[in-house]
Amino acid sequence: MSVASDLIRGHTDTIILSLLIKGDSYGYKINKDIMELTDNRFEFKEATLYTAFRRLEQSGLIASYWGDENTGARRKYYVVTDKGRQQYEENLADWEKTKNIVDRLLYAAKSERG
Amino acid sequence: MYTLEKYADSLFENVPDSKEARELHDEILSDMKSRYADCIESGMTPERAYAAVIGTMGDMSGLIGQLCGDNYTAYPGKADEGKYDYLFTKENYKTIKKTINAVLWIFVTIVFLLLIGFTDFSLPWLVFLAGAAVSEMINLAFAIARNEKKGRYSADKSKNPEKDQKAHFGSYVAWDYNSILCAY
Repeated sequence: MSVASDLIRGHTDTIILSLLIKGDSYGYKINKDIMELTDNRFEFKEATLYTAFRRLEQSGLIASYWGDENTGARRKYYVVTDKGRQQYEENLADWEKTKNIVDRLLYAAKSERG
Repeated sequence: MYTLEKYADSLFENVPDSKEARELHDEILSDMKSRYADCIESGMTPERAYAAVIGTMGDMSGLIGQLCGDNYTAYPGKADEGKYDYLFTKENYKTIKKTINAVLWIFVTIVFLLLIGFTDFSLPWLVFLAGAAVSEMINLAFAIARNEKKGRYSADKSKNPEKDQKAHFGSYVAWDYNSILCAY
């Protein structure tokens, strides 16, 4: 089964915000969560993730801190900010409206109305 | 032997040192290590695990570029300089020069023929002198452009083109003289 990755990539920021609202996380962990949620059908390229982290942090939607790992490797955690939560809710509302419109348009051929 | 450390270092090879760059380097490396450990745990050989980790990285050039400021291009070498270099190979230079000269001489000949059609033989031959002058100017322009280009990449070759140019000038004068004589 093929997944239209580019359709998903349009929602990268919202997806990251959504997962961070569930709890602070780091790059690889977010990708693992995504794999789990999609039954291994999708994951972001690391480059996409880090680029999004950077963008989100610069716009103040997320913040980061370095965690102390007992394994020794420093790990950078991300945490969603209030502004991030607000943005997430807005994005979700936008998606609901957009989804509805896209559905109507894409299914126009199969619809009996009109 | 490839290592994740080397891969991470190679990503930041051309990046100016900064706290931000070091942090991104460490972040990428620790995520790569975690994935690598998971791959090994799932039974992959170290080689396959390494390939799997690298395979999920994607194109980092845009991200890395953001750390280098505005002047960065993803690949070494400057952005615009040399953009059209592929047009200006030695062969192309010669071909373009030859073509322009050929067009010039065809034009000169046509003018000459027109002029002797309208006037007598006393003056029209002068167009060949004019043609020779223009031709030399074209050659000079090409030589300068070529030298400038060479100079940009290797300054030590500046002697030869000059010599070439002189030899060239001699042969052209001889050829033009002949053509004038032939015309008569």
